[in-house]
Amino acid sequence: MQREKIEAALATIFETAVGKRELAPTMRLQEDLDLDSLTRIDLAITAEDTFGASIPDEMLERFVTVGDVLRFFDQAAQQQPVEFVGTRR
Amino acid sequence: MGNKLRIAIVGGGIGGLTLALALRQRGFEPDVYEQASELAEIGAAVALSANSTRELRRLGVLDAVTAVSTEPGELIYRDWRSGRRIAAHPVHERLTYQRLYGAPYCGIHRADLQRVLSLALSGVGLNLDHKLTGVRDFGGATSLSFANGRTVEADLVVGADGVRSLVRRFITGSDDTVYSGTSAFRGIVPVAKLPMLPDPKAIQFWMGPDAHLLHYAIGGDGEYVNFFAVVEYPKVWPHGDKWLDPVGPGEAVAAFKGWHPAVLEMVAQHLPVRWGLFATRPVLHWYRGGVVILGDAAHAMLPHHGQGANTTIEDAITLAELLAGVAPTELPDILARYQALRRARTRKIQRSSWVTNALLHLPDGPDLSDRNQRVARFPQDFGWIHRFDALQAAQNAKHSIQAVAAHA
Repeated sequence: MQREKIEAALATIFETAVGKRELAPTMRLQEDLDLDSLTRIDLAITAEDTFGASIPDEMLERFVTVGDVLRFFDQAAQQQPVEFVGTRR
Repeated sequence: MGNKLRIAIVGGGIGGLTLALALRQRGFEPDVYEQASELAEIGAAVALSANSTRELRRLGVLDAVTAVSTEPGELIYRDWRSGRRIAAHPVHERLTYQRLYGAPYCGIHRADLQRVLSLALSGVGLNLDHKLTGVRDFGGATSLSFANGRTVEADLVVGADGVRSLVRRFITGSDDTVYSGTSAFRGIVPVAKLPMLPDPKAIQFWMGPDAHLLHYAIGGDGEYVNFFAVVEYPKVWPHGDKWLDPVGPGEAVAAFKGWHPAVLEMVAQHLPVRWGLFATRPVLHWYRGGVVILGDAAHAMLPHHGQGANTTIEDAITLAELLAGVAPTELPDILARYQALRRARTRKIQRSSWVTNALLHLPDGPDLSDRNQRVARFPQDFGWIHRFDALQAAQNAKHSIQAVAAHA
């Protein structure tokens, strides 16, 4: 459920960012999707708002593939109680 | 009805005063609480770009601002040692900048800007000698206590209290300030005392290994040059909460040893302090209950895009416009909308300023040709910062809320 949500959110973000909805975990952010560092921030903000977890800037630069992003959000989501999602503090 | 909202603004700097002015323009009667006993920003200037000067025009203060500011002739990037022009872009020349972005670029002393804003407010609602000591939420309202013993209550508290914001601490529960590993020397010098400086009315970056010098003219006739010289140390800031560290007069000259004579001539005239450069780490929440933050309190950034004051003014306009005509019950939605509108944009500029620091400080070597191409492209690459229209963005967001409400 959580993973589906993450994948759906990611698909939307990528669609807005690079006009591409069909994503494979092996796709490389920079080379295959042309995702620049500012678009990475849109991705981080949307994910933060969705999952209530903070993603440090340095982490953004370390993502190489779509799979890396998915894994990170998966882990972040697991560390947060479900009822935290979508609420403030 | 929204005008009955009791709004307390903590901090009488550029953000607090701009917000107060924008709110008054919309029929509110906000109070500003400033810890200092007078409004006097010291020893520093600020560069206002079109994204904020278009808002100052809407607030009716742009003429007063341009009367005491200078628009640089060009934006020039130079080599640290030879002084060679690596790239140059027209700004005031042929009114290029204003034509591109619809509003001017202004180099201005902070104290002058503060004076223009407070004059426009005629001092109404301005409370000096109010150092905030506590914030308390008691369901529906917030109480603020001050060092002078006074306590006030408000429906909305806006923390415009800078990088060390106490209001932010109330919201996030942590200290989100980070030291950048860089520090700066600053000064404001009469042009007459800079005989070696080429193009004194330009805004110029002198780029070299582990350091850069930025300067631009200020004052109605460009009679002063404001400079900002950044070095990559100390790696750890040893002075705790203090971001000013007293230094001797020869300190900056030693740091810029071997640089072009025009650079040495300028940095030799620095104020006897070193500024530690701090930023705010991106925070998830900009509000809690009826308490919200703006400007450096929310997103303090490195100054390499010259956007700290500009994004602060954008924040103030956005918040004021979203609040206009809104019932107190809608406050939570408004604050959420404000955060959504501002967080992504300011974080991008924050991040980009951080990355630019490294670009400005490259050592001599093969990476320079890439750097030179990038600074030649800066106007195209960073046009998105200057083109932005905060009022328009807030109005669009507001209309979309109203459209949703109408269909509900």
